[in-house]
Amino acid sequence: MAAEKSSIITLQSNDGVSIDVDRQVAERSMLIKNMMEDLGDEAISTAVPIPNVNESVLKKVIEWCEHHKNDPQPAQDDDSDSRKKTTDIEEWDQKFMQVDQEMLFEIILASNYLDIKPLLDVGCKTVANMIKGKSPEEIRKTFNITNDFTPEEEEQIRRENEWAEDR
Amino acid sequence: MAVISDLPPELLLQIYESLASIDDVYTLARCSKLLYSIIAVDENGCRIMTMIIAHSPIHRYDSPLCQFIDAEQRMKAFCNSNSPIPHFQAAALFRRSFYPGDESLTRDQVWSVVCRWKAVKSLYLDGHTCAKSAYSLVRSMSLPGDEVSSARCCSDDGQDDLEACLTGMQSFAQYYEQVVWVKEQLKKSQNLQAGSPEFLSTTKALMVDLRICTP
Repeated sequence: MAAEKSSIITLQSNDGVSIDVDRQVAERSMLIKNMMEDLGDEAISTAVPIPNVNESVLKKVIEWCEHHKNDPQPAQDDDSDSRKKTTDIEEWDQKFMQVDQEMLFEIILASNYLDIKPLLDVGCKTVANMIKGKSPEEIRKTFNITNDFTPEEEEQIRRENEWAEDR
Repeated sequence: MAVISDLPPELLLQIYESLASIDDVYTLARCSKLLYSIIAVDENGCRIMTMIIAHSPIHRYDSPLCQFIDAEQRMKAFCNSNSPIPHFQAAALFRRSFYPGDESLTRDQVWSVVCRWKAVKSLYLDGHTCAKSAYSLVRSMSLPGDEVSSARCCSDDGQDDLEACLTGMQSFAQYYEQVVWVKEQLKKSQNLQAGSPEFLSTTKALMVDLRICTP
C-alpha cells in the first residue's frame, strides 16, 4: 500500500503531452482512482489518456490536486452536503481561480470529467461570485452571452419576476 | 476555448445552486434561453432555491421559521381535536423550530421562503431611498440577536446598506410574525385549557424560550 501511494503514473493530455504525476495526487480524481482500482498495477506502466483535457488545463488541474493532495476524500454521496454550508472559497483556491474565463470553464469541464468534486465546487462558486449582484445585461457582458429572447419574451419573463427587476 | 454556454445542463444547474441569493437566480435566468431553460424545470427550481436557502446567511432564520409555522399548525390541529395536548408535546413541537435538526425543507416550505423574500423586498424596499430610510429604522430598532450588530458594522456603501437592511428587515418581519403567532397561540390555549394551570405555565415557558418575554 505504502509503495503504491508513492508510485508515479503518467497522464496523457488530448494534445499528446505526457505528464508524470504522483499517484496520490492523480487520485484526487475519482475517475483515475476508480480506474486504478479496477486495472491495478497494469495501468501504472502505461500512460493514461485523458481525451477531454488539453495540456495547459491538465497541468492546472494537477496543480490544484497537488495542493489538495492531503485533503480528506469526499464521500461519494455527500454531493450536496459539503456545498450546502457556505459559498466561501478558501484563499488559496481564490488565487488559483484567478484565470481567464476560458480557462475557468475548461477547469470546470475537466473537473467534471475527471470527477474531482471539490474542484468543480470551487469552479462553480467562482462563476457564481462573478454573477453576484449584477443585472442581466451586466451578466451577458461578463460572459459574452447573446440575448436570444424576443422583446416580447423578455418582457414576459421580466414580469414573471417583477420583484427582482430593480437592477 | 470554453464559454459558459459550453457547459452541460447539470453544470449550469450547479452554478445556479452556488449563487448567493434568490435574486441572482432570477437575474441569471433572464440572460438567455439556455439559462432560462434550467430553472424552467420545476424540480430544478426547487433544488436551486433549497441550496441557496441552506447556504445564504440572509435566509438563516427561514428554516427555523418554517419549522415554527409547521409547529403552529400542528398545535392548531391538536387544539381543534379537543383532546388536551400533553404539554411536553407542545413544548417539543416548538422546540424543534429553535433547534432544528438536519431535516430539509419540503417543496412547499421552499417556495414559501421564496415568496416571503419577495414580499419583504417589495414591502420594505421600494427603491434605494426607501432602503436607506428602512436601514436607519433597522438601526434604531432593538432587535434580538446579532442582526443589528451586523447591520451596524456595515460601511456606508449603498450596496452594503441594502444588504444589511434586507437582513435586518427580514429577520424583523419574521420576529414580528413569531410574536403574533405565539400570542394567538397563547390566547387559544388559555381558552381551551382554562383551569389547567400547568398548560399555561408551559406556554409561558415557551414564550421565554422564544425570548419574547423575560422569566
